Amino acid sequence: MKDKSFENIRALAAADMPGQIAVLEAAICDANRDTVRTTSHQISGRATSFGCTDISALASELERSVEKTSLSYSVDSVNRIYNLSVL
Amino acid sequence: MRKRAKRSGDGAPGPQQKYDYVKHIEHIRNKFMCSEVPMGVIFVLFHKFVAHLGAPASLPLATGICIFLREKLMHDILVVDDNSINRQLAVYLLKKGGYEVYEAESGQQAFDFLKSQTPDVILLDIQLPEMDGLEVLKRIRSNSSTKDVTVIALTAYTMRGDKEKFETAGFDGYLPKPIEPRTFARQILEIYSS
Repeated sequence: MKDKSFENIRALAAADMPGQIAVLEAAICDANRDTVRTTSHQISGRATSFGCTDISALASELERSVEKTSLSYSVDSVNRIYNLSVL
Repeated sequence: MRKRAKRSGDGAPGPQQKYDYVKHIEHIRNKFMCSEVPMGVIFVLFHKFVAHLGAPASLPLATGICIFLREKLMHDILVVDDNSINRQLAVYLLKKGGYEVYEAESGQQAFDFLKSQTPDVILLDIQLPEMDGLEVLKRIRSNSSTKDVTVIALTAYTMRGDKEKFETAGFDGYLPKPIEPRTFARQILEIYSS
Protein backbone atom coordinates (compact mmCIF):
# COMPACT_ATOMS: atom_id res chain seq x y z
CA MET A 1 0.00 0.00 0.00
CA LYS A 2 2.21 2.83 -1.24
CA ASP A 3 -0.23 5.38 -2.59
CA LYS A 4 0.16 9.03 -1.83
CA SER A 5 -2.72 9.42 0.61
CA PHE A 6 -1.52 6.58 2.78
CA GLU A 7 2.03 7.92 2.72
CA ASN A 8 0.71 11.36 3.74
CA ILE A 9 -1.06 9.90 6.77
CA ARG A 10 2.01 7.87 7.59
CA ALA A 11 4.11 11.05 7.38
CA LEU A 12 1.72 12.75 9.81
CA ALA A 13 2.14 9.84 12.20
CA ALA A 14 5.91 10.05 11.87
CA ALA A 15 5.81 13.80 12.51
CA ASP A 16 3.83 13.11 15.67
CA MET A 17 6.44 10.71 17.03
CA PRO A 18 8.83 13.27 18.59
CA GLY A 19 5.87 14.62 20.60
CA GLN A 20 5.02 11.16 21.84
CA ILE A 21 8.66 10.45 22.67
CA ALA A 22 8.74 13.69 24.67
CA VAL A 23 5.62 12.56 26.58
CA LEU A 24 7.34 9.25 27.32
CA GLU A 25 10.52 10.94 28.52
CA ALA A 26 8.60 13.32 30.76
CA ALA A 27 6.56 10.45 32.18
CA ILE A 28 9.76 8.50 32.97
CA CYS A 29 11.22 11.56 34.73
CA ASP A 30 8.01 11.89 36.76
CA ALA A 31 7.92 8.14 37.44
CA ASN A 32 4.43 8.17 35.95
CA ARG A 33 4.05 4.53 35.00
CA ASP A 34 0.47 4.92 33.79
CA THR A 35 1.48 7.48 31.19
CA VAL A 36 4.51 5.43 30.14
CA ARG A 37 2.22 2.44 29.66
CA THR A 38 -0.56 4.24 27.76
CA THR A 39 1.83 6.22 25.55
CA SER A 40 3.94 3.20 24.66
CA HIS A 41 0.68 1.34 23.92
CA GLN A 42 -0.38 4.14 21.55
CA ILE A 43 3.01 4.17 19.83
CA SER A 44 2.96 0.41 19.45
CA GLY A 45 -0.56 0.40 18.01
CA ARG A 46 0.10 3.17 15.58
CA ALA A 47 3.39 1.63 14.47
CA THR A 48 1.56 -1.64 13.80
CA SER A 49 -1.04 0.14 11.65
CA PHE A 50 1.69 1.69 9.54
CA GLY A 51 3.76 -1.46 9.23
CA CYS A 52 6.64 -0.31 11.46
CA THR A 53 7.16 -3.63 13.18
CA ASP A 54 10.47 -2.78 14.87
CA ILE A 55 9.03 0.26 16.62
CA SER A 56 5.88 -1.64 17.47
CA ALA A 57 7.85 -4.48 19.08
CA LEU A 58 10.01 -2.10 21.13
CA ALA A 59 7.05 -0.03 22.31
CA SER A 60 5.11 -3.16 23.12
CA GLU A 61 8.03 -4.49 25.17
CA LEU A 62 8.23 -1.16 26.97
CA GLU A 63 4.52 -1.32 27.76
CA ARG A 64 4.82 -4.85 29.15
CA SER A 65 7.91 -4.17 31.21
CA VAL A 66 6.79 -0.92 32.79
CA GLU A 67 5.36 -2.59 35.90
CA LYS A 68 8.16 -5.09 36.28
CA THR A 69 11.37 -3.12 35.97
CA SER A 70 12.87 0.14 37.05
CA LEU A 71 11.88 3.03 34.81
CA SER A 72 15.57 3.79 34.32
CA TYR A 73 15.68 0.78 32.01
CA SER A 74 12.89 2.34 29.97
CA VAL A 75 15.15 5.21 28.90
CA ASP A 76 17.11 2.85 26.68
CA SER A 77 13.91 1.58 25.04
CA VAL A 78 12.73 5.12 24.42
CA ASN A 79 16.05 6.02 22.80
CA ARG A 80 15.85 3.00 20.55
CA ILE A 81 12.29 3.85 19.56
CA TYR A 82 13.37 7.39 18.79
CA ASN A 83 16.33 6.23 16.69
CA LEU A 84 14.12 3.91 14.66
CA SER A 85 11.46 6.58 14.17
CA VAL A 86 13.90 9.09 12.66
CA LEU A 87 15.31 6.62 10.17
CA MET B 1 -42.49 -26.31 -14.39
CA ARG B 2 -40.40 -29.33 -13.61
CA LYS B 3 -39.86 -29.83 -9.92
CA ARG B 4 -36.87 -31.55 -8.42
CA ALA B 5 -37.52 -34.45 -6.12
CA LYS B 6 -34.56 -33.96 -3.83
CA ARG B 7 -35.12 -32.20 -0.56
CA SER B 8 -32.55 -29.53 0.12
CA GLY B 9 -32.58 -29.98 3.88
CA ASP B 10 -32.43 -26.23 4.19
CA GLY B 11 -36.08 -25.32 4.47
CA ALA B 12 -36.98 -26.06 0.86
CA PRO B 13 -40.22 -27.95 0.27
CA GLY B 14 -40.31 -31.67 -0.48
CA PRO B 15 -41.45 -33.15 -3.79
CA GLN B 16 -45.09 -33.40 -2.87
CA GLN B 17 -45.38 -29.93 -1.45
CA LYS B 18 -46.53 -26.98 -3.45
CA TYR B 19 -43.94 -24.24 -3.66
CA ASP B 20 -44.57 -21.68 -1.04
CA TYR B 21 -42.76 -18.56 -2.19
CA VAL B 22 -43.60 -16.56 0.88
CA LYS B 23 -42.19 -19.26 3.12
CA HIS B 24 -38.96 -19.35 1.15
CA ILE B 25 -38.62 -15.61 1.05
CA GLU B 26 -39.15 -15.39 4.78
CA HIS B 27 -36.64 -18.19 5.25
CA ILE B 28 -33.99 -16.28 3.30
CA ARG B 29 -34.69 -13.05 5.13
CA ASN B 30 -34.74 -14.60 8.58
CA LYS B 31 -31.91 -17.06 8.29
CA PHE B 32 -29.50 -14.78 6.52
CA MET B 33 -30.69 -11.56 8.10
CA CYS B 34 -31.27 -9.84 4.80
CA SER B 35 -34.06 -7.69 6.16
CA GLU B 36 -32.69 -4.58 4.46
CA VAL B 37 -33.12 -6.16 1.04
CA PRO B 38 -36.60 -5.23 -0.16
CA MET B 39 -39.07 -8.10 -0.11
CA GLY B 40 -39.91 -7.48 -3.76
CA VAL B 41 -36.31 -7.94 -4.84
CA ILE B 42 -36.06 -11.29 -3.07
CA PHE B 43 -39.41 -12.34 -4.51
CA VAL B 44 -38.46 -11.53 -8.11
CA LEU B 45 -35.03 -13.16 -7.78
CA PHE B 46 -36.43 -16.28 -6.23
CA HIS B 47 -39.30 -16.51 -8.71
CA LYS B 48 -36.89 -16.22 -11.66
CA PHE B 49 -34.55 -18.85 -10.27
CA VAL B 50 -37.33 -21.27 -9.43
CA ALA B 51 -38.67 -20.96 -12.96
CA HIS B 52 -35.32 -22.05 -14.38
CA LEU B 53 -33.75 -24.27 -11.76
CA GLY B 54 -36.35 -25.49 -9.31
CA ALA B 55 -36.57 -24.53 -5.67
CA PRO B 56 -33.66 -26.46 -4.09
CA ALA B 57 -31.06 -24.89 -6.39
CA SER B 58 -32.72 -21.51 -6.15
CA LEU B 59 -32.40 -21.14 -2.44
CA PRO B 60 -28.59 -20.78 -2.21
CA LEU B 61 -28.47 -18.70 -5.37
CA ALA B 62 -31.11 -16.25 -4.24
CA THR B 63 -29.55 -16.16 -0.79
CA GLY B 64 -26.11 -15.37 -2.18
CA ILE B 65 -27.47 -12.53 -4.24
CA CYS B 66 -29.40 -11.16 -1.27
CA ILE B 67 -26.26 -11.17 0.87
CA PHE B 68 -24.39 -9.46 -1.97
CA LEU B 69 -27.12 -6.84 -2.20
CA ARG B 70 -27.14 -6.38 1.55
CA GLU B 71 -23.40 -5.78 1.56
CA LYS B 72 -23.80 -3.29 -1.24
CA LEU B 73 -26.42 -1.55 0.86
CA MET B 74 -23.78 -0.58 3.41
CA HIS B 75 -22.49 2.58 1.84
CA ASP B 76 -21.97 5.25 4.42
CA ILE B 77 -20.00 5.18 7.63
CA LEU B 78 -19.43 7.74 10.36
CA VAL B 79 -16.02 7.50 12.04
CA VAL B 80 -15.89 9.05 15.51
CA ASP B 81 -12.38 9.30 16.91
CA ASP B 82 -10.63 12.20 18.59
CA ASN B 83 -7.20 11.02 17.47
CA SER B 84 -6.65 12.75 14.14
CA ILE B 85 -4.19 10.23 12.72
CA ASN B 86 -6.25 7.19 13.66
CA ARG B 87 -9.35 8.86 12.24
CA GLN B 88 -7.62 9.80 8.99
CA LEU B 89 -6.31 6.27 8.61
CA ALA B 90 -9.78 4.78 9.17
CA VAL B 91 -11.36 7.26 6.75
CA TYR B 92 -8.71 6.59 4.13
CA LEU B 93 -9.08 2.81 4.33
CA LEU B 94 -12.87 2.94 4.17
CA LYS B 95 -12.91 5.39 1.26
CA LYS B 96 -10.50 3.10 -0.51
CA GLY B 97 -13.02 0.34 0.11
CA GLY B 98 -15.59 2.39 -1.81
CA TYR B 99 -17.64 3.73 1.08
CA GLU B 100 -18.95 7.20 1.71
CA VAL B 101 -17.22 8.22 4.93
CA TYR B 102 -17.94 11.03 7.37
CA GLU B 103 -15.88 11.93 10.39
CA ALA B 104 -16.38 13.43 13.82
CA GLU B 105 -13.84 14.04 16.54
CA SER B 106 -16.20 14.06 19.49
CA GLY B 107 -19.56 12.73 20.60
CA GLN B 108 -21.09 16.17 20.18
CA GLN B 109 -19.87 16.45 16.58
CA ALA B 110 -21.33 13.02 15.93
CA PHE B 111 -24.73 14.09 17.31
CA ASP B 112 -24.65 17.24 15.18
CA PHE B 113 -24.04 15.07 12.12
CA LEU B 114 -26.77 12.60 13.10
CA LYS B 115 -29.36 15.40 13.20
CA SER B 116 -29.21 15.58 9.41
CA GLN B 117 -28.05 12.13 8.33
CA THR B 118 -28.27 8.52 9.44
CA PRO B 119 -25.30 6.44 8.32
CA ASP B 120 -25.42 2.66 7.94
CA VAL B 121 -22.57 2.20 10.38
CA ILE B 122 -21.01 4.26 13.15
CA LEU B 123 -17.46 3.41 14.08
CA LEU B 124 -17.10 4.72 17.59
CA ASP B 125 -13.92 5.17 19.59
CA ILE B 126 -14.43 4.48 23.30
CA GLN B 127 -11.91 6.87 24.77
CA LEU B 128 -13.37 10.19 23.64
CA PRO B 129 -12.98 13.51 25.46
CA GLU B 130 -15.94 14.98 27.41
CA MET B 131 -18.33 12.15 26.65
CA ASP B 132 -16.96 8.62 26.26
CA GLY B 133 -18.06 6.12 23.62
CA LEU B 134 -20.39 4.27 25.99
CA GLU B 135 -22.29 7.46 26.77
CA VAL B 136 -22.43 8.36 23.07
CA LEU B 137 -23.84 4.90 22.34
CA LYS B 138 -26.55 5.33 24.98
CA ARG B 139 -27.69 8.52 23.32
CA ILE B 140 -27.59 6.95 19.87
CA ARG B 141 -29.76 4.06 21.09
CA SER B 142 -32.22 6.39 22.83
CA ASN B 143 -32.86 8.36 19.64
CA SER B 144 -35.61 6.86 17.46
CA SER B 145 -33.88 7.79 14.20
CA THR B 146 -30.53 6.22 15.13
CA LYS B 147 -31.43 3.41 17.53
CA ASP B 148 -31.10 0.72 14.86
CA VAL B 149 -27.84 1.91 13.30
CA THR B 150 -24.97 -0.59 13.46
CA VAL B 151 -22.50 0.79 15.99
CA ILE B 152 -19.04 -0.75 16.24
CA ALA B 153 -16.65 -0.04 19.10
CA LEU B 154 -13.15 0.86 17.97
CA THR B 155 -10.89 0.76 20.93
CA ALA B 156 -7.48 0.07 22.38
CA TYR B 157 -9.18 -1.64 25.35
CA THR B 158 -8.28 -5.18 24.49
CA MET B 159 -8.30 -6.91 27.85
CA ARG B 160 -10.13 -10.18 28.37
CA GLY B 161 -13.83 -9.51 28.84
CA ASP B 162 -13.82 -6.15 27.05
CA LYS B 163 -15.56 -7.58 23.98
CA GLU B 164 -18.39 -8.96 26.12
CA LYS B 165 -18.58 -5.68 28.03
CA PHE B 166 -19.07 -3.68 24.85
CA GLU B 167 -21.59 -6.11 23.43
CA THR B 168 -23.55 -6.00 26.68
CA ALA B 169 -23.50 -2.20 26.48
CA GLY B 170 -25.25 -2.46 23.10
CA PHE B 171 -22.50 -2.30 20.52
CA ASP B 172 -23.08 -4.47 17.46
CA GLY B 173 -19.41 -5.33 17.21
CA TYR B 174 -15.96 -4.62 18.46
CA LEU B 175 -12.74 -3.84 16.62
CA PRO B 176 -9.59 -3.70 18.70
CA LYS B 177 -6.91 -1.16 17.85
CA PRO B 178 -4.45 -1.01 16.22
CA ILE B 179 -6.18 -0.74 12.88
CA GLU B 180 -5.06 -3.53 10.59
CA PRO B 181 -5.11 -1.85 7.15
CA ARG B 182 -5.49 -5.04 5.11
CA THR B 183 -8.58 -6.31 6.90
CA PHE B 184 -10.17 -3.20 8.38
CA ALA B 185 -12.95 -2.55 5.84
CA ARG B 186 -13.70 -6.26 5.58
CA GLN B 187 -14.07 -6.62 9.35
CA ILE B 188 -16.61 -3.80 9.42
CA LEU B 189 -18.56 -5.34 6.59
CA GLU B 190 -18.58 -8.70 8.36
CA ILE B 191 -19.98 -7.15 11.53
CA TYR B 192 -22.56 -5.21 9.52
CA SER B 193 -23.61 -8.35 7.64
CA SER B 194 -23.75 -10.62 10.68
